[in-house]
Amino acid sequence: MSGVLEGFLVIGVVVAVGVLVGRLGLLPEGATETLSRTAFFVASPALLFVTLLRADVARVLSTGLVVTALAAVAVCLLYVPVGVLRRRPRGETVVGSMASGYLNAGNLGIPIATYALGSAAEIAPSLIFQLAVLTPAYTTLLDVVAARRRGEDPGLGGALLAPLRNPLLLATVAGLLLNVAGVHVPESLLQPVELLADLAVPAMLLAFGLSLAHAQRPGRDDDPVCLGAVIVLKNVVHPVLAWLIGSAFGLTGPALLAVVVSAALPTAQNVFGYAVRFATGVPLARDAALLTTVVSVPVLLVVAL
Amino acid sequence: MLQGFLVIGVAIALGYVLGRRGVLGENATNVLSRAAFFVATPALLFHTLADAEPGEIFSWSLVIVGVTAALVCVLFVPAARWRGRDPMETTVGSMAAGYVNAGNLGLPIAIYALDGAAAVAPALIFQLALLTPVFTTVLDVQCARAEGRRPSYLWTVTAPARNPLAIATTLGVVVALTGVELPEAVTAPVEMIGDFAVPAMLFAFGISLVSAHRPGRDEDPVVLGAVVLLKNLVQPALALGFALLVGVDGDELLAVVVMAALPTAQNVFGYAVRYGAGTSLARDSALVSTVASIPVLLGVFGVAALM
Repeated sequence: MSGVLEGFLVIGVVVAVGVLVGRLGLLPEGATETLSRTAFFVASPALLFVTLLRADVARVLSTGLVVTALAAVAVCLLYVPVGVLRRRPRGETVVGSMASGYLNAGNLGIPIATYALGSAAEIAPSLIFQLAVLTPAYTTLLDVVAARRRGEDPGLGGALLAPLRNPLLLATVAGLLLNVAGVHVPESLLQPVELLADLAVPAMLLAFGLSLAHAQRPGRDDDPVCLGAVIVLKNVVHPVLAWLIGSAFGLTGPALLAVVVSAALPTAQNVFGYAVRFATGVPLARDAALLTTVVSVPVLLVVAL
Repeated sequence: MLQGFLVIGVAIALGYVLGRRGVLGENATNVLSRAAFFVATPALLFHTLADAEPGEIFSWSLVIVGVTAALVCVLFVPAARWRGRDPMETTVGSMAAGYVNAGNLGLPIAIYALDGAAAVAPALIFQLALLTPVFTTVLDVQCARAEGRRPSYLWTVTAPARNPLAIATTLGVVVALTGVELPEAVTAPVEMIGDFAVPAMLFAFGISLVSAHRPGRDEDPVVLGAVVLLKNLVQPALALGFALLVGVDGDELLAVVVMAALPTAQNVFGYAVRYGAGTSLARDSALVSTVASIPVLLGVFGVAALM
């Protein structure tokens, strides 16, 4: 159990440092953007590449992955009618859907898997499904929505080619391909990539903290129904669905626990990073990450007990 | 040994490419340098020092590294005064002459070409525990003077207490010496933030090269030449002489000379940006001394292999 609290504590401290730095005005203007963009264009791709290169593909492609994928897709889709009924802009609905099902596998998931579930490999299905499927799908959608909003017609060619310009997808595919092909990448080549990967998590958390420093009270900029829907879907519906689907697939004991704990993780800070990157749904992503993180503390405690 | 150069080179080159294409936003150099200075480097200093053994902190190597670096830093001052440089640029140049790239280059070289990471500890610790707080404090005071404030005696004496690097260093040394076991709840976030320091500084350096002219164009060639000469030749020669004098030999001798032959740290550029002084001197020193250090280091390793 200490793992759950520790994961929250590490994130909380780093985000709090970001808030403090923002309040003190230590960083010049544009800091949130620079940090988010550095993570998106450089550090996260580096992190994805080395993570997927080293992942145990057989372990990852297990029943746990199927259950994780089904639960996440269901939760993401469940948000869409809410966004449409509330007549929210398309980009924000995409961000809200992502916030409902895209969980904090890296920053919170890895420590929790290690400490509470016994092995970091337990978070691998979520990590990989999100990186290999959800992230490219959502960033492509956001790309297309952003192009439409600018009045450009991305066309079918643009929509199909968009993922090829996405640094996260390129890194993910490159890592998986080299892994599956069994190519041995020399450590000396991985070292510079690992140096860059080190930037990803702190840059995103600091950027998140900076953005909170000047934030209004959560929910002020948001449609309360949309924000409430994200929280209910992420914190309650997602773990319950994972439990039901996992049981239906015959998972029991530790395997079932791993799937449910993963699904109970809060909205990833990455969602906020993408919202900033595509300049859409930023308050919703920020408030969803913040509130689901707070709500997930009791939920995870209940699940883990 | 080339590994260390490769890691640094890739990060800087990527920073340069991204800076050229404007990917990271307008103020990127400033944001990354300041984030490193105020947040990440203090975290890195704190946990590096807190984890060190007291025996690693106090050794002959530490004395040699310390005395040599201090001498080289002092030797730069007359050159700068002679060429009429202002006090803050003189301080930055002095730092560039003696402050080696222990973290980004020294650590990989120590791991790959020497006995292991511990070989870099003396240089790292001396720079963190003495050079960094002293230089940044001097810059704090000079900065206040340049802004027309006449700092009071009390303000000058207490300047280190307001410098994030000095505070972090002191706390780290206190933890190392007292042997306090910090809970993981403290060390984990500190390490995570510390991870940010090196890549952020390398990126900032790479981005800054975009708007750079050819090295030396903004510089008094004599001043830049003095830094490079002191850094790349005088410092390793002094370290060799001093080490032989006190009877250090073998692997420890090689380690001390290699650490002294490392190029100017990118951190110096970070501090120059932070204080808005000597930026081009720091940038060109880091760049030129890094290039010049390759043959020097190869020569040092070559001679060691022959002996």
